Amino acid sequence: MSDASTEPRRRRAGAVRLYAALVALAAAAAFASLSVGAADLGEEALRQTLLSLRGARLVGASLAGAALAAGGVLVQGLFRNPLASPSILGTTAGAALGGQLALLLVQGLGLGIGFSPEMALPLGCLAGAGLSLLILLVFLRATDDLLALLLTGFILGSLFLSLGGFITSLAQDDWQLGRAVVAFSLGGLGGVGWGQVLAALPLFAVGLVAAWGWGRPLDLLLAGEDEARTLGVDVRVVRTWTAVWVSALVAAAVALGGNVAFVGLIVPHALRPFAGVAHRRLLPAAALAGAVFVAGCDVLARAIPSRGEVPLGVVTGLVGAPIFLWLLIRARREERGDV
Amino acid sequence: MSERVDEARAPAPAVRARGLTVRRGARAVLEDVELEAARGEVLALLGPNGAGKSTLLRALAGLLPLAEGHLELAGGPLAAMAPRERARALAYVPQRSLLRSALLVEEVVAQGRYAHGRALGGLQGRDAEAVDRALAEVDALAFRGRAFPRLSVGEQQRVLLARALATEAPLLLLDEPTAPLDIAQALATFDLLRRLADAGRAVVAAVHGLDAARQFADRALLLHAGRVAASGPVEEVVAPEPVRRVYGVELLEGAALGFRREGEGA
Repeated sequence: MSDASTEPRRRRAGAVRLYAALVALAAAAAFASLSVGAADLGEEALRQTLLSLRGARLVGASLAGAALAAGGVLVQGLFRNPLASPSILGTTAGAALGGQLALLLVQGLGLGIGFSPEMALPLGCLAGAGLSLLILLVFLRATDDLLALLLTGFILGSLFLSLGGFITSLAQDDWQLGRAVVAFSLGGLGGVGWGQVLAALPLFAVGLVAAWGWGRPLDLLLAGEDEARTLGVDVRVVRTWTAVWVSALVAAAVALGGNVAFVGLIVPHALRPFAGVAHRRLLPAAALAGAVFVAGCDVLARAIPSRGEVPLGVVTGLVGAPIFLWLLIRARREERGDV
Repeated sequence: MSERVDEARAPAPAVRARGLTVRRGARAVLEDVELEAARGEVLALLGPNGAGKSTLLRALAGLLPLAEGHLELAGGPLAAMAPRERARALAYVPQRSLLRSALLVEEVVAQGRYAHGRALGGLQGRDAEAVDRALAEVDALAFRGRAFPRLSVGEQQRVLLARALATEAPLLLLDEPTAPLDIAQALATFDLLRRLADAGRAVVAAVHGLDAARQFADRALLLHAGRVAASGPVEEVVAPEPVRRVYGVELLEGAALGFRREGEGA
């Protein structure tokens, strides 16, 4: 009995430690992000402008990271699979394609008058992410097959990347449009200003709050469709809406930082041992950790000596790919030990 | 005791199935099954492997589309119920959960409260009480803070039962609840099911052991190749003639080993 009564207290203390650590890391990342860069903060005249630019970039990076990590938590619950993530399932690629199309239509062809490219980009990303998840949900009724899930996601991702390449080549006719599309495709927060942050903010906020609200039915889905159904979950409704929230989150992230890989995969993974797997406890912690991770990677992207700036997607990829490989090997080993 | 007397005593059965037929492709895996269970009674579903016990339970839980037939719960026809309404009317305990994520035991049991309160709301005081009560009932309070996948199969079974109890549904459907348990655990589980029935629930359980069914069930339904081979009071179903017909073995009255939990009725 004493074991049972000390348990909640122990868990609360663990949560306090986790959030204290995350907040400390966030403060460090914020400080580094504001002070690291090509220009010198010492010059009084430029200081205000520089801080505003870097501030927008910091907030953009944090929002993108939080959105991708939260999106990762959601797709892992949706497909009952800890190896799923928005980038592995092709959702980020779909959002990127949607964004490229939006740039082409609005900036290139002048369609959608009244829409600034800043506004059109998140909406295009939303449509692209939603479409890619829809395709995945339609093709994969039985989602317990990890291989089928990863392969379908890989094929979708490749398809979207090729289509994106095609759009990029189309866009080269117009120099300015070409630059915008290429910069967006490479991923990176270099051009993010307060305008882009404000345009992506509603998608992010709606996605995150709604995702937290849907935490309980998502927990139930972890036990499989049959059990969830007998416990009162309308499985189709929960899946559909979860896909909508994932689309909103991924669209916000891609509109800000382009196609940034691996965040949605490794952040939820790293957090589960500390925050637990229940969605309402995992989501806020994962969002905070995702913000820290991407803001940190963005500092690295600026600090690594190179001719321009190393694209953000390159940094998260370099950090994330080995971690993903390690997770895959560990999961296979556990699977073999299990059966 | 005749069927008619039973029905007269329990005016509204917790579940009533008429002409239940389930097809897999063109093949009928259940055909024309009639079933009824009232509050206060334990109904054992018997039959050889592949006879359709699990299929029947899944159909009763509303997890399989019916090709034909009618399924009625205390609150009305099952087909007309919304998912959450259905979850308050019946609780289903699978043979093994597909849950592999490290949810804590109390979080798993709290899943039984999803159908109560608002779908997107949190747990209320009443929910927490129901969770505590259910944990106590299956004697699982000691490991409420542990991760579900790290429990032994027997402990997991008790947690799944607690989750079903937390729903406070009047109808319990259990798929071979004692299959992963040793004999002492199995007896304890049957005792618990008996007590739950006596407290006013209807318990429908697929059971492998004919001896256990004889000991703990009030009535039995014997399935053979998807059809009802015998149905009625358990001593009439677990009897030489139906057992020979379905299993092809002789029933030897009073010849089997018997077991009893310690300190009970001695």
